[in-house]
Amino acid sequence: MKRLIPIVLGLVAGGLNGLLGVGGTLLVPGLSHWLDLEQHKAHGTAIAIILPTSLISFFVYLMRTGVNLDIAWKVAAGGVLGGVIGAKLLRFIPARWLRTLFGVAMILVALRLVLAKS
Amino acid sequence: MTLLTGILIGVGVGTLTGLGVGGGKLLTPALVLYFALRQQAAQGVTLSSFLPIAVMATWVHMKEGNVDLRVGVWVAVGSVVGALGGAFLATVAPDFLLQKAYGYFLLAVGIYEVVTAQRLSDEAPVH
Repeated sequence: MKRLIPIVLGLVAGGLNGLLGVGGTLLVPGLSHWLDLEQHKAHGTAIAIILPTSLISFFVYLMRTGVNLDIAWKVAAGGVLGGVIGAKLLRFIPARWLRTLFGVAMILVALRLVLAKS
Repeated sequence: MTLLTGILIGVGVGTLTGLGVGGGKLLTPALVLYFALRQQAAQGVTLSSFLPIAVMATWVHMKEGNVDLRVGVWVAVGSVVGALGGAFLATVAPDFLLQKAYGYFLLAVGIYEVVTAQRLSDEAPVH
């Protein structure tokens, strides 16, 4: 029974990963609040879980509809560089400002998607 | 998409990811809105472009001892099963429906981010 919480958390997170292509959004708070992991372990464990999960989602997409790998590799190449830049910038940018700004950006983009005519 | 465009997009998205705010969540809609990809196709690009980053990040986190395998393995079991179902669903769902679902998800995350961010201090860093 104790195994149920982590498995259900995984099912939901994995389901979102496959359905919407999103990463650890649900996993990090889930791991820290429901499974009592400390913040840094929640982050690290979430990434470790997302890896096999994303691989599965990727292969399902690849086999059923194909994936535009041409765009993907270009973005991935930039992404590796960007990740290093972001990690270095981390300590210089105030947390509240960054997350508020990013949150607002997400809301605006979301509204555009939600309000678009079918 | 030209190599330069792809790399620039990647740098932008990667920087956001490196800063700890999920850059990938904005990559998918960017591809849909500016490059006319179908929702599921855009998601496929996002998933695959993050794979190399996830590999490296996982390796670093494991070295640093940040991965709790005891807890993680059970979540991963559920997660892999969930992904099979979710991904299959994404490949059969109508495009506009998936787009709306993504939009509502992003809206929820955006609101959550703005609300919880107010509890943080003004000092760096993000975590």
